[in-house]
Amino acid sequence: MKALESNTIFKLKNASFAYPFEEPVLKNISFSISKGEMVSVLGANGCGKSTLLKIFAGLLCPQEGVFNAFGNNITEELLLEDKFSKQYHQKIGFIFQDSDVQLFCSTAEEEIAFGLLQLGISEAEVKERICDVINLLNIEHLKDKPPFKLSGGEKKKVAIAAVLAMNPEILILDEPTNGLDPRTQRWLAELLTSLGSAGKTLITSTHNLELVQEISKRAILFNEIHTIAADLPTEKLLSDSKLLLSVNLVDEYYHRHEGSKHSHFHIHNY
Amino acid sequence: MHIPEGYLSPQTTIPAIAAMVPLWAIALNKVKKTLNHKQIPKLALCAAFSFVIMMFNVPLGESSVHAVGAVFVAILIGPWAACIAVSVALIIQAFVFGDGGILAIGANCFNMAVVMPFVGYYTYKLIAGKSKFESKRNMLGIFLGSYLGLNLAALFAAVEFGIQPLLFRGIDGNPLYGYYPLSISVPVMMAEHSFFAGPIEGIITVAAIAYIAKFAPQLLSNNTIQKTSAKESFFTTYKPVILGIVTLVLLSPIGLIATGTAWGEWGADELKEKIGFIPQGLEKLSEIWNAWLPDYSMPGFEGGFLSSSAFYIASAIIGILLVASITYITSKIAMKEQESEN
Amino acid sequence: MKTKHSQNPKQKTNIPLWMLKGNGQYANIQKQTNFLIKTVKELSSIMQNEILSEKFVKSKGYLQMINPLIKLLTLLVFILICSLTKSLITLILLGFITVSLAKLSALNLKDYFKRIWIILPLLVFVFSIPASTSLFSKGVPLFYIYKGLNLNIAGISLPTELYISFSGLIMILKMSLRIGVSVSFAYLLIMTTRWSSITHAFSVLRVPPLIVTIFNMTYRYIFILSKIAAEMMEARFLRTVGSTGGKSNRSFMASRMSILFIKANFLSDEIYNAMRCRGFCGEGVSLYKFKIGKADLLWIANNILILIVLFLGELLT
Repeated sequence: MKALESNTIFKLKNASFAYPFEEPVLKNISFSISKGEMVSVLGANGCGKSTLLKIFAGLLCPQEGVFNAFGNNITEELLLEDKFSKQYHQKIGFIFQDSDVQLFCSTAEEEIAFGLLQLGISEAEVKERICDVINLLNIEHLKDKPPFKLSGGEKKKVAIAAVLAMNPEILILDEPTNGLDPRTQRWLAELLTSLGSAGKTLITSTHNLELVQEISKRAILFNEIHTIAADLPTEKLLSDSKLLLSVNLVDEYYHRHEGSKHSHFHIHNY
Repeated sequence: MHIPEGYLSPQTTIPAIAAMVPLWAIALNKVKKTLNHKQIPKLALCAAFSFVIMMFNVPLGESSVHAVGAVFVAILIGPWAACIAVSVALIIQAFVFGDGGILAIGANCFNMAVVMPFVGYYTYKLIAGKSKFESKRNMLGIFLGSYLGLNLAALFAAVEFGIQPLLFRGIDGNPLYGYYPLSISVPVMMAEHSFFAGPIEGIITVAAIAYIAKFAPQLLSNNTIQKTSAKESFFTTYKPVILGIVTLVLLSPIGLIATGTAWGEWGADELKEKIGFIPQGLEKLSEIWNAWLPDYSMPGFEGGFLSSSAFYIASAIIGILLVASITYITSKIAMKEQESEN
Repeated sequence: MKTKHSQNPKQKTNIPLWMLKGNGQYANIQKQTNFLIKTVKELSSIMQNEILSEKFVKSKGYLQMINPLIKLLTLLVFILICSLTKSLITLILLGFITVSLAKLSALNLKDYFKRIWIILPLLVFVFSIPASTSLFSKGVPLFYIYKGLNLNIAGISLPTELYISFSGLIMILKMSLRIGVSVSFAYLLIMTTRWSSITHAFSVLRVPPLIVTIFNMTYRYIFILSKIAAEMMEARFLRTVGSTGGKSNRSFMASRMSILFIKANFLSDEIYNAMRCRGFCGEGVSLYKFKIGKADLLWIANNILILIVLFLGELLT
């Protein structure tokens, strides 16, 4: 893989993607992401967020336009090469929307070990990393349990543990707070913020506007016709209610309180 | 139509496994060459699907009646990949559910993972040709393909266990393995499959493919195996299948050449006479086999069966006591060792 | 036909009136005891709760301690013996061995008997009873079904006597035992061993890695499929009031099968993607290495002794 020439890790130029026999779900997308950025991808359901993330994760290739990662133009053939594929996927940790899809081993411990063993790391180091990551995420009690018996939040934690253990530079998360209870959502937000401060590149797609301002400095907004509506610093984007309404991301009651960093559950009496 | 353990003699099951190994190897090669990485999970999914379909079976005497889905899978990923998919399903069934004997895996795979998908697929291709999915000609092809495939597989199965009483009898003259002859096994299996299971398999496969063609057509468009088979001659394409059948026919009823006496009773001399050579190992083996006398009708029976069965019961009890104590003692030692290690 | 809608000005959506009222009684609600639904649900639950969860794999039992590869090979040897032997006693002994192993490995004996011995061997025995009669097997009569009959039906004369012979009974008993023993050994292997260990044993036995991968993925997908299938059956059951006819059931089956396949295909693609993201390129990996411990040596010794007992037994009788 070519050495990093600039700070750009991902670059899309006029990229479009359509699933077989369907209408394009991404149209003419162009933007770049640099190392260490914390980016949110926003948009209503079905606008193409997941697809975009999968392209970054090396699971899909745009049919039109160019996708460039780490200085290489990414093509289907390139991704089918085992050596390239392994290196590429080691750099990127992808958290799927549906945790069930990501947990395919018999116990949580094996799940975490899977990626590490694929990397060919020594047995001792594998055990050490498993231990560290279990402690970081506080899932010692889940170690020997089969994943399908865990709750939504627990599954998410195991999935994140399995991905973090591989120590990727870039974390891509597809709607990570979906289906999680408020406490786990809070925990996740804090984890992501610390990982971001530690220098990891963070790309998150979400509906959760409370989460967005904490975990990202830049927000990319998709509209319902599958193109980019805006690419702005988070604060600025979130303050533009008209913009958000036009892409059907919020309802007519959306509002923000000035200067608030946290949002609390509260009721307005109208 | 799974054949359970015990219905086929080892002289049938072991050559069947031996015949399947080259077929599996060829199938694996074909799959590696024509299916790319992404198709592998689809193959596994088809295997899982076939497994689930086969779970719904109705016992029918020695065997059972059920849909297989082999032709459905063959239309989706090609007959070679279908061979692997259905074989995997059958092997997992044999281990996990005891459906179909473990030694009988070779024979079961031959029937359901070779005969059915190939006959079904090529019949379908013959009739449907280049017609589009959801057209009448295509649906007819699918129906006839799955119907014929299933019935032919059932016929093979029926023949396999129907010839057992013909070939393998004990000294007392009674069959050692399968005991219902061809005159029963064939009509029963064929009747059930031609009037009941066959039409169901046909209708369901047609409906399923039509549904998929309508709602998820991308699943039907990945069949790349056709590219290579168009250029190969008939013989090259069918050679492995023919090879498999020929091997089976040659190896299995060696007894047919020798007018069916059970293997155990052949002396080395008889074999020499029939085949003209004798492998060293076989000579030793035949002596051990001969020691395995099957009989409860041993000397002393004339004295009334009570005395002989008493002897039998006594030896059984002694055997059980011996086996029990050995197993119990070793397990206890093993457990103690384990605990002291932990 | 125009449905009446609520006239409530506060509501923004047009809720049809029938939804706002109660339902009254539906006549003729029959109990749905479709065997299909029950079968799927039961099998699915056994698979999820016992096989997938590897419930008994962690128990402190004899078989759980043995190296998976050795277990696999031993059990194959026993199955081979079961198939080769012609002696009833050997089969009974083997049966006894399986039961004692089940007990020593902390398996639920009631379930074991119910699933292994009562289902197939019993069915086979019953169906084979005609084979034990003089129609199919020779031998000294044990008891007569009828004697001295001179009957001609449509030009075919029935046999003058029909009896069940002792040798006939023994023959069908052997058949049932063969089936029971062989299925038992497979059951013992599955219940006491992780599936990933069994497939790892395959790869040690030189089975190509692609095939091992396919086995592992298929195993996983079977559970997903059966779970989805059970849920679909449940949903249909909940929406159906009254019984449904055969034709509707068949078309139900066909469309359900296709939907199941399409759903599962999507899911399987996602799972494969997830695996690739963690570096998967076709080769399975395992955290556990196969070691040979004292328990394995004892086990091998145990079985050699048993084999000797069996051989001697056959020689003597």
